[in-house]
Amino acid sequence: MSAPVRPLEGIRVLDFSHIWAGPICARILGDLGAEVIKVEGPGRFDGMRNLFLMENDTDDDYWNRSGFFQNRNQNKRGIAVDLRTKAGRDLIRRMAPQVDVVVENFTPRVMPAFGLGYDRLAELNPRLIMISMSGYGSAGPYSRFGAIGLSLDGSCGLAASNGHPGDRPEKSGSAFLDPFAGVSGAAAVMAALLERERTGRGQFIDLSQHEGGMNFVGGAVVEHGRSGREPERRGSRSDRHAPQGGYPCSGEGQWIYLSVRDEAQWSSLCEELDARELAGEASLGSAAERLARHDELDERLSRYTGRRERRELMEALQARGVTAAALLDGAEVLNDAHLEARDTFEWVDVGTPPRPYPSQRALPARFDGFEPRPAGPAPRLGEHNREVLTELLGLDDGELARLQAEGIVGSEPRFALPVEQQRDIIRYPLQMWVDIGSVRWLAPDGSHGLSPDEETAEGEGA
Amino acid sequence: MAATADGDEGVSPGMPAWAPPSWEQLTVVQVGDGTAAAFAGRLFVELGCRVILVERPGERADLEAGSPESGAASGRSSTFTYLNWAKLGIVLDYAREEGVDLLARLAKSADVLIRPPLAAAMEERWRTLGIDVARERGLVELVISPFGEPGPDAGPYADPERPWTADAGAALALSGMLYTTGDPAKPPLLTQPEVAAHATAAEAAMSVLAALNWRMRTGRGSHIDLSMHDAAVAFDEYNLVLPATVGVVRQRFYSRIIQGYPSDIFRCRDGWLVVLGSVNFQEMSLLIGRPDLLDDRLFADRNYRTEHWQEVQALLAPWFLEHDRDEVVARAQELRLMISPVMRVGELAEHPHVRERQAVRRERDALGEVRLVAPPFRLGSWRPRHEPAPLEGEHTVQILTAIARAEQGDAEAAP
Repeated sequence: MSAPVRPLEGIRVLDFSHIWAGPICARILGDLGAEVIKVEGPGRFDGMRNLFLMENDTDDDYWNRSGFFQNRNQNKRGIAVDLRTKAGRDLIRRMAPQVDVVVENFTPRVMPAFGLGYDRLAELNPRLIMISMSGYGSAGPYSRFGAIGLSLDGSCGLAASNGHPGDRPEKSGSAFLDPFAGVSGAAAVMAALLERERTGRGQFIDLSQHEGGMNFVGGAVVEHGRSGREPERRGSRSDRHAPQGGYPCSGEGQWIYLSVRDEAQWSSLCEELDARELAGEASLGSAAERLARHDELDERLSRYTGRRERRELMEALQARGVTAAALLDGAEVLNDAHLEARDTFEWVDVGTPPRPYPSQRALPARFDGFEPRPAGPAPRLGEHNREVLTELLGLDDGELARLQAEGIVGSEPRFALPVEQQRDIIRYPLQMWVDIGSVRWLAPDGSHGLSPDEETAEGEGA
Repeated sequence: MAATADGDEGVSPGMPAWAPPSWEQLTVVQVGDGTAAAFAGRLFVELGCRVILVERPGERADLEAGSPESGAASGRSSTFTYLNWAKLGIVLDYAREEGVDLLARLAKSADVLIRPPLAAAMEERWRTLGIDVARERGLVELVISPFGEPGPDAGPYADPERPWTADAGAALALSGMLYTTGDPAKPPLLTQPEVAAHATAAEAAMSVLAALNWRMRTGRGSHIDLSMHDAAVAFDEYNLVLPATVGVVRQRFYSRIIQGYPSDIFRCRDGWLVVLGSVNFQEMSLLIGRPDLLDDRLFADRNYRTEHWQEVQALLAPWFLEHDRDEVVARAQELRLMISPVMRVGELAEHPHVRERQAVRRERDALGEVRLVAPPFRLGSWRPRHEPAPLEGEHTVQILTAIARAEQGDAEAAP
């Protein structure tokens, strides 16, 4: 028996999940060596296939050209089985004895309604681990509520804790709770695999994304229980040291983040900015005093930072031991030299004709004993129907043809709307977004200025 | 056992190289009070592991200095209590050689070590203390740093001559998220509290569990290098996918999802609501009692609605102001609209959903009742832990005595 190359080799995952949290959970397991089979339906594929298509091109099989879908579903095999049919559900049940893990993030009624809830699947395979990653969990008065990451910002207490002083609550800018749930889900599955080794039994994991989000305000929950105090919305400021926040630099829309933690850093900041008047002001000589005068301090500091280029100022302050970071936009992050040195992005060909896409790591940690799977393509819809159904269930050509003819499996989507209408709907109105100010063009020709290495990276595939 | 996609067969489930014990028999050493390490350690506490918090003398006082939280003066602030519940606590100065040596002895008796990078001279010493041998025997060592462990190929922010410093805010700044958060007419808005540190902690716990699975298969431990900056970037797909696919860069625009309006927080009569545009947004016309608008372009056409978002806002805002939060949420869910309440922290523990799921439990420490949020996941083996967060150095003698006895061959004395 050859030595394993990755921790989860030999583990088979059926991934019914869609959008973000569930697919990322399953992708992490796949990157760690598990064999992941993504289950979609011919009449209902993962909605991420509609988002952020390469070059905004909605022609042909656009559903196989989404950047989002690629990032969250690479290195998986894909089958499209109509779970609304008894025959489709029977196929899944027949697979159950050969599966180690099931990942899903539907609202709690869905899988049991399909006859694919944990109780039914565990009868077929007592070693099965099933993780349900719904918005509010499988039980409780909110369990039937639909949710996505940004909606959970509100109900978990995070939004109420955020915003400018005296201003309204604010959502996080980037739906943290989705990837947080995905990573937590992968952790939960791996913990359950360790338990299974000891007990011989699988289990059902009821992961509530809402409860995950509450962990962000866990300290505030303790505080409220002790003192009755709600967290104050304080913008970007700290509650104990100052100055901290975003400060404008030279050039439109250019900012730097600063966080001064002690008096030595305060002196270094003033010295770098040549802000003698600030350094010499005794009444700014302690964190408490600077906190009390934060509004005034921000205004005065901004006059100094506004004279400096943000990256140059960041490097100068870091050299003095002051926490400083230029605010980078998305394209700048893709081009960041530090991330390039750490191989954060791998080039993958997406779609037909192939277009290179910088797929990003789902495993930011670097392990000395093994490497995650290299980036590979996400599956086209139903791409591996034949392969998987033959391999796992021993179906022959005749059976496969029948299933295809009856629409129980497929590789072409069935839309509720005429396909041309569908194409129009999902083609993004980029110029309109530019006009209202939510985005700006990256370059006149829309290119991002990135390029793959000499050879486009080719993954092993799932 | 299924064949792997690589064609190799994995280790048979009947023959692990390392048989994982019960969680109670696993020891995790968490070095330092940083939020990422502390929250990762908390996740292992909630699995049932023994977690030992190692602090430098005065580290906790520095952490708590100036904190407005209850209990800060006694070294048990609310956040510290939450993050370090049920841990054992020792003090040892790992900035000095004697401390590093002791830390190594402690690490060799543990299964998992979560630590920050040490000062350069101490890192050099660390490498001579047999930790590599311990890793061969199964120790999982995870180093959490701002930008990755320093090294010649580690990237400009991790230059070994002068590695950069960062906190959760800096990680968000360099990952693209801070640039896009908040109102365009105001400074960028940091999402609090320390969300990048929580993201890093989740990555840390997940990575350690991956390494324990690796140990199960190979018998070997791991060294893991985890950067807070990398963790923040891994969480920020949204800002990165846009330039890479459609050639636009997301701007700071009210923290909204750009492809459909609304994606806003609205004031209602007794609080606030998160209102998101969903595929059946037309039903919003029914919610606000305007069925005549069901087929109006503002409700039926996502792009038109996004372009004319001020008109939508002007229609919805007055209606929400006249209605109570929970009433709106209940009705919205019936219509399958994505509207959720903005809950105050003080509401969480008493909310019916949270109570039924026992997602906040009540414990006690010397300061009184402690309300603890449930971990992000609970396995079937989960049991509540009742031990309070440790006082500084509370278990130093106990732990170090146990190490000494274990090294002398007392198998039952392992800390």
